[in-house]
Amino acid sequence: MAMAAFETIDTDVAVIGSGGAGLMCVLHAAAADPSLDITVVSKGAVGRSGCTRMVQGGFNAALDPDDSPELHFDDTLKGGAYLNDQELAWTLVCDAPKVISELETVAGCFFDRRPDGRIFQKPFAGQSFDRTVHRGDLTGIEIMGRLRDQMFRLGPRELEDARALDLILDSSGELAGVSVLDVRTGAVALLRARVVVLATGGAATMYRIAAPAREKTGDGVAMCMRAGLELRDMEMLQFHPTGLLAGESRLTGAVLEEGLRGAGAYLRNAEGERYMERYDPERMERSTRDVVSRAGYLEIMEGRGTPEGGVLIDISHLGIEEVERRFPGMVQRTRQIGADLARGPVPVSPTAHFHMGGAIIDRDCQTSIAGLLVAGEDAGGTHGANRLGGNGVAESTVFGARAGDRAAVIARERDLREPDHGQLGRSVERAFAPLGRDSGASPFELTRALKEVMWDGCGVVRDGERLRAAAETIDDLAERVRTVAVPGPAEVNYAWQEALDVRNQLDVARAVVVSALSREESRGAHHRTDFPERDDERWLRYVVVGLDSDGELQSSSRPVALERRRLASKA
Amino acid sequence: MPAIQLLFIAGLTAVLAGVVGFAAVVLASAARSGGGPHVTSGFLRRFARPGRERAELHRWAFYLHRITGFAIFAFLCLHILDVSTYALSPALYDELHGLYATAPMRVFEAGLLVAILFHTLNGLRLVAVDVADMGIDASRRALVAVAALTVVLGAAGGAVIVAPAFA
Amino acid sequence: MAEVEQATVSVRVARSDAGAETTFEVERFEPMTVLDLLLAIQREQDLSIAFRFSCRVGMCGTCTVRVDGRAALACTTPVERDVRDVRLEPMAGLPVVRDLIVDMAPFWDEWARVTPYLVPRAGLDEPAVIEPDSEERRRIDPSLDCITCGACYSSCGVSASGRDFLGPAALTRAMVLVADSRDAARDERLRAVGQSDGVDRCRYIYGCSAVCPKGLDPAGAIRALRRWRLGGGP
Ligand SMILES: Cc1cc2nc3c(=O)[nH]c(=O)nc-3n(C[C@H](O)[C@H](O)[C@H](O)COP(=O)(O)OP(=O)(O)OC[C@H]3O[C@@H](n4cnc5c(N)ncnc54)[C@H](O)[C@@H]3O)c2cc1C
Ligand code: FES
Repeated sequence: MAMAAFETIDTDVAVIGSGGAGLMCVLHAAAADPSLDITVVSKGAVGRSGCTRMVQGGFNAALDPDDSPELHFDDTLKGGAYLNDQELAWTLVCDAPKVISELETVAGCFFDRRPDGRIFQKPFAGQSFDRTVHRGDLTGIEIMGRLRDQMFRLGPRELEDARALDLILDSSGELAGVSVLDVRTGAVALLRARVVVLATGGAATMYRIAAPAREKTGDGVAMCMRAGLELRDMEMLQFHPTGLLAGESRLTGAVLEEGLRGAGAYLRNAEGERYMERYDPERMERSTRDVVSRAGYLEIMEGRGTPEGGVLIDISHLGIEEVERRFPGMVQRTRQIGADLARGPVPVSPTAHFHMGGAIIDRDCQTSIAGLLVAGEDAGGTHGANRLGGNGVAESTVFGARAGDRAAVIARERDLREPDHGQLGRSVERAFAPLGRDSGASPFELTRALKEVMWDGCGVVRDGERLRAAAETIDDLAERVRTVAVPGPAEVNYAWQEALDVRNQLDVARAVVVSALSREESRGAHHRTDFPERDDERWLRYVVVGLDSDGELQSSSRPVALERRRLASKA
Repeated sequence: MPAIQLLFIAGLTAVLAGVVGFAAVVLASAARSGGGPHVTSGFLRRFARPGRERAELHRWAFYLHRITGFAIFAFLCLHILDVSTYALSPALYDELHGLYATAPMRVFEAGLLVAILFHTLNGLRLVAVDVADMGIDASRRALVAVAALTVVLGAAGGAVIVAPAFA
Repeated sequence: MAEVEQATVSVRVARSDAGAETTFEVERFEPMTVLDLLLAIQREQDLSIAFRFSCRVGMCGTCTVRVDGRAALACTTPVERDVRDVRLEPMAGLPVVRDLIVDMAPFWDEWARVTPYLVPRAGLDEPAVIEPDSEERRRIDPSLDCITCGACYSSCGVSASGRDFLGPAALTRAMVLVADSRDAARDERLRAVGQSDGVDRCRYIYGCSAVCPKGLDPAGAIRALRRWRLGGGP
């Protein structure tokens, strides 16, 4: 298939992704310097793709006079099993209240109030203080809806339905811009930019049972990797304990919110036993996500699961009316699959939810490539080994905002560069290859195969043997992805897009598996049956992976800098 | 048949043709827009359920309101012309208006009555929507009442109009 | 109709390429949504079929199609057990990009015209103290949560037939902002919605309120604006 001649667009700040991080970045960059030319590139609809939109639970911020960033910080480290980059976590907790205030006063969000008219904060797992701000169970819609409205005020250039393909450097290895594929027309553009902000939101869709939106295929992380950046904590993938099981339906994996367990829901296995008694008798169902997910997974693996391959969540003892009143969205979701949360148990399974790992950044989102910033779920370090519920949207908005501030500064200092046309050509050629082939693997089959191997080999509970087998399968799939063939035109061809997605997912999957193999202990979301204990002596270190100059994936580890908190008590 | 009667019949035919044409345009544009007149099994199945699905009735009321509005207006134009023949010559007027007593014309008049009833009652409902701030359900109930009244009054009035032709 | 369980569903899809397959027999599974039907067609029968979705849980608002003529979110619309055939078309009143994908630009153009963002009143430096059961919030809260899916636009007899009309979604947004005491642009907005392509264009079809997948009531918002326009505000 011949590729259309491409257009070059020059811009000051290119923001890749239009989730919480992406749009907060636009908001801040434009506020810092209204004269900036800002371009948003979004694979899905602007402001209506990605996971920030799907946030139900809420947003953690220490607003109450009796609460403090210090306490929030301690919770975050404890949740993260002390693997966090403390600088990033500290930045998160300090900025979160400011961002809440900004969302309300600038963006026009309105969060739920207490009877006295001040912002209401609810309890959430793993927190010593009730600090989760929310708007019903549709917090994400309120935040993303209002941020999207801001775009009408600010008027950035919006490239909607446009997929960033690769970071393009100049001949001396400096960042020049991004290659972008217009999904609607199949045309390629080179976006030359002084600053590129990556905010494409992680890769957790690569599991059989997964919660996130379809766009989240690790594009940003894979782009960073291919550009030679190092990634950290890639083995740390969070599973939400209560993902809906709906058979073949795409609904499988959709999250039933954490608040259910908070409100007293029971988890039972097929034998009717409240199995959390065996895993965490003290906190039972209210234990942290990693523990509850693992428990559910083990129950299923040991044959005590339901025929659907799940366990049961049951909150019907609160009474039909109470459940309907407090969790209308969740009740509706279960009714859609022919179950009913208000009236009886619903089959659930752990579901891949959030990727803690990602690019290594500093507190202003800067990476080791000048002019490249990474924000939101694409970056690693803030959450350590496990993310607290409510810290995700906080991270994306806090760091998105910081990236915007920083981008405005860098844009004044950096020039536009002339891209290396050879590299650009290769990026485009690779993208178009599947369209040119007459026969080959189907992208949908490859995605399926990847989801299976990740679920079985690198899932909630891991061991060396299965990880090695998974690594091999992934290598095979990576071979097959080179032969993938897609019929049809370049315009609006979602099978082709799937082929491009799965290629990125495979790159990221390999990094996840390699990191998981090298961490020979269990910590947070990473649990290995061959190394079931947490080992602070050897493993208060974070795993770093990156491609070497031959394109081989190398891993190493570095000690966590305990600059603000030494290891307190064991979490 | 006198020329003036032929002329009137031609005018009336034009009016009726206009109404049919207008209705076709309305329904065709409706088919392109959401919810349009898609009488499929899926649509009927949903329509059989109570609740919001039946709000589709409002859409049909809207089409009918436009079509009856057009019909009334078009006939009114013709009617102004036929009445104004009196200014030319009362004899001509009488001659023409003999037509109104014929059976087909009475059937037409009964139809006209139904159109006027629906248009008027539905128009009052639309005013009430704003005045009484009627939501989707209240408005639907009002619409059912409009339909019922149209049928009852139309039938009664129609009988009175048509009866002499068969006496 | 008897509750007969169907082994397959016959799906008719409006395609934009001449000659593209339009009818598919899809093997059914339980539970199944309209989105599942489309995904199954794409996976097993026709890789080239074009449709949109993202979140698949009714939150992003990008999967709107017309199911048997009526706008709905594909991801939250179940294919009931007794259903034998389903007809899928793109939303009405918006230019088709390909198959079931439409260009939402006209929708957003209207949205932009009501100044859809908060214009903070002077001195709004921190989150306003507003009681949750205040008059203001009782008016606003049921009308938030709009996912801009366009279902109301497609079902509006006025918007979807291409007339100049701000339309149900944009007017609902306008109503929310007009009622918000934190906002300083009330008068401009009331003026905007009072123009000839504003609230008076509504023809009381209630298509919007009937199809809103989030259960909002745009028709109610429009009535409120019609009242407020005369009284200068809520
Ligand atoms: C179901 C669910 C519920 C959640 N609930 C909570 C919660 O209650 N509290 C909480 O704190 N966190 C929650 N999270 C986590 C939270 O949503 C994420 O941490 C956060 O939203 C990530 O934001 P982001 O801006 O990094 O990415 P996203 O919001 O995911 O945005 C990614 C953007 O990148 C775009 N994109 C992707 N690839 C490309 C490409 N190649 N080119 C161009 N654009 C691209 C997408 O279109 C999208 O616009 C939840 C997550 C899920 C999945
Ligand atoms: S896919 Fe998001 S609303 Fe249907």
